[in-house]
Amino acid sequence: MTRRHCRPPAPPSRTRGRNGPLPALLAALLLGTPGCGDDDDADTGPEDAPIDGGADADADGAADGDAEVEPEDGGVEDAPPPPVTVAAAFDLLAAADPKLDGFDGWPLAFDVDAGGRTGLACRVTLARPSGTLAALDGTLDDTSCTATWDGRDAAGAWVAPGSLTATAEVRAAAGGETLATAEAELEVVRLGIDRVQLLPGPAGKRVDLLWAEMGGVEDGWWLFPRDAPPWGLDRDAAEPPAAVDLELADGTPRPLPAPWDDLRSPPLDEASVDGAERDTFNLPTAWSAGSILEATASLSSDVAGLPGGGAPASTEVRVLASPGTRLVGEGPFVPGGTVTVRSETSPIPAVQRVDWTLVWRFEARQPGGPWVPVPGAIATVHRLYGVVGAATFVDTGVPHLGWVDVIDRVAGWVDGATADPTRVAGRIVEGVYHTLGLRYDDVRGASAYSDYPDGWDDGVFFAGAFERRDYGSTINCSDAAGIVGAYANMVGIDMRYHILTHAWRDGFDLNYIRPIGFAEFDETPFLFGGGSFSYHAVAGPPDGSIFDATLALDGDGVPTAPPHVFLLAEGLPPADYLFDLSSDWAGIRIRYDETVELQ
Amino acid sequence: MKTSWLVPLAWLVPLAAAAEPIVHGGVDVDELTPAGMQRLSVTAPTEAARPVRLVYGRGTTPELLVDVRVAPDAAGARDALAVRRRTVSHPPPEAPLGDTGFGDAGFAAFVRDNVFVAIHRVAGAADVLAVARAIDAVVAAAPPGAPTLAPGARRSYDDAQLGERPVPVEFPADLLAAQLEVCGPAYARRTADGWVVVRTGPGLVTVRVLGVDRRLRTAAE
Repeated sequence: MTRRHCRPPAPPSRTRGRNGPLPALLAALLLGTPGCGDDDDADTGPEDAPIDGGADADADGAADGDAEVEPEDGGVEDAPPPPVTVAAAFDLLAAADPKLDGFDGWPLAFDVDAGGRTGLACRVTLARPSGTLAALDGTLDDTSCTATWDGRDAAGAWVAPGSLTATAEVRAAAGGETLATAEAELEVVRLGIDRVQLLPGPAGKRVDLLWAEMGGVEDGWWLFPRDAPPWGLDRDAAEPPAAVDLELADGTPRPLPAPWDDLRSPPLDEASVDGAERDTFNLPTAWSAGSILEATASLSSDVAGLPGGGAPASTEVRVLASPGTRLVGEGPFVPGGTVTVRSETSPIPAVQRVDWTLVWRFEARQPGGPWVPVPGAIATVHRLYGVVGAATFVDTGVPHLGWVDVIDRVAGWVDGATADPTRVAGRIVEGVYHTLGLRYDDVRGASAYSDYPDGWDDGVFFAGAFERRDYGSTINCSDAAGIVGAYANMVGIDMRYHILTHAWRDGFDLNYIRPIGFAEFDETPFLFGGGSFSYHAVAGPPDGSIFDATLALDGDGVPTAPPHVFLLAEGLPPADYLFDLSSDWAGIRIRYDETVELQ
Repeated sequence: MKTSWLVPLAWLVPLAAAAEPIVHGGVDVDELTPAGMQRLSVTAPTEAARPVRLVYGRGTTPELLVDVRVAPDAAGARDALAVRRRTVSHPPPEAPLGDTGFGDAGFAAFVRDNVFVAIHRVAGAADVLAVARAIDAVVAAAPPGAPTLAPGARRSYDDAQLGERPVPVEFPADLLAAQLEVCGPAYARRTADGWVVVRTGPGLVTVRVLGVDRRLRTAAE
């Protein structure tokens, strides 16, 4: 926008003078037209008034409703009415993007001094050399003429990016003569974001995520590395060539992607190198709880058929920090550049699932002018998972990472209550025991999803098969320990499996227990009797405490007899656990301390 | 009388010891399907010494998990049986299955020569002992032969051979199922068209196919 302060058209009384129209005409020729020098409407504008011969001065005066003092007898000089002036408002918005979401109109403001006149009207016209784009009836009050433009032309189409001239006219009345005009240069721009990278700030870390399937293909692992941008907006290969990152081929703004919520597969795109959607996507990310996040937006001004065609040219635009964030460095809007904001607090302070919304707003100005908010914004929504930390399996690489479906499940169980590893592990035990629909194998207590191919070492958990329930929902203690251990490892808790055996006998007696999937306490979980285990598998961290989702203990201190107090082992000291589990507690040894291997 | 009873026994011991142990060249997977069921899946082990997992059921519901290990010899099969028995919290009693075995209506495992079999009912009401006996008969009738496959060749990929685009890994046509062992900055994943290797960083990547054929034989360790 460039402001051109226009001199008001001289009131008829000033140029009319006592000597009639000739001096007035000369004055007009010498001084130029009273309005803007480049007023194309000079031949029809207010400047015609001084040279209209003055014969209709009375009529004009009546029509104008101005404050002109009529001469009483023609022999007395009229008192000149104060001039009407109009100028672009100091804070007139210089640039805007009508395609921004939430754009509710371009506020066009001009300062007006009506000189005490009443009954005036104003009109704002937006034009380019090619013609008028829009003509708006403004609202005139004592000090300003304002109008709101929707960024569209008379046919209702979005006006293409580029400069344009806004002309404000103050008229004697609606449709009356123009008393003053002012022009301002504005710029329609395209303000967009085509990529958002999320990385840790000064605290915390982002962790890898893994989808266990891809398009329903088991073992179709798809790794989403912790340094990959989770949010992107781009043209799909199947779209017409005119399509660009921000817009479809017809110029319609490209819809922003919602957080991807398929926990079993990433979005697919046959045209990409690996079959996953790489154009427009919005993938979840996982973070150690308490992480401070930095979001870096890549800026774009692409318009359909004209990449980069919406870049600010004569104006300056800057990006504002979303609420709850602050800018890292400067925020100039430069297409192809980036701007980074940092969260003021952690959006994921605990183990949880959060949809974090960043509202990217803009301000624009003429060089050197005041910054003025641009209407509309870009709201990017990012699904974040808070976890305890990176996966803790001894084995590394795929599939020993945080699985999206598991992390989502654990995040739901914990639901922001804590990031403490012990408490999170407790929630995992509760979740496995209560919510997964599993039932202890009441025939023989045989494992379905676990294997120990080398003694009790190198325990294997068939995690993919379990997530699909390929082998059903009947499990034993090794399976439960595998589930708890694997889930805990995936959310960053150091959890291993332990094997409980009797030191000198083949198995140990059971107190009253309530196995997973059972409704009642019993001394035996088996259909055909036999209240003993040949072994038992549990999970636990390096401190030796016990976590067990296989069974609930009778925690009333008398586990050998009714009544029963439901107690899940969520970090029980080994001695307490063994006492509640078995009357043979003194002879039970807890051995092995390994993380499961996933298959 | 005692002498006359012991003499033939004494003769038999050296005769039995002298007999060549039978080493089956695997068992035909298509002969193992329990009556009225269909095979739902076959999962190759990630290590040759682990059993192959077969899943059977009616419709899509898994009912029986059948683990089969065709070991190089009987000792290997017995090791597998011992390992499996340990992971049953309340093992069933011994049962007349194979050379040695245990089981009841819900779980059974046995060894016949160089083949280990475990059957675990996870749903339905199939008589596991009856299924075990049927499989035992199949194993017993399986012809002798090589119990293992030749180890799969390792394939290496440098940065130029494996870039951003995943590289398909061809399997021998006679494999029933397979896993991929990947060393280096990459991982293997299955697609609708087969397995591919996906690079995660620069460096040499080595891939080995761990397959199982239709006779449930895995590569030699």
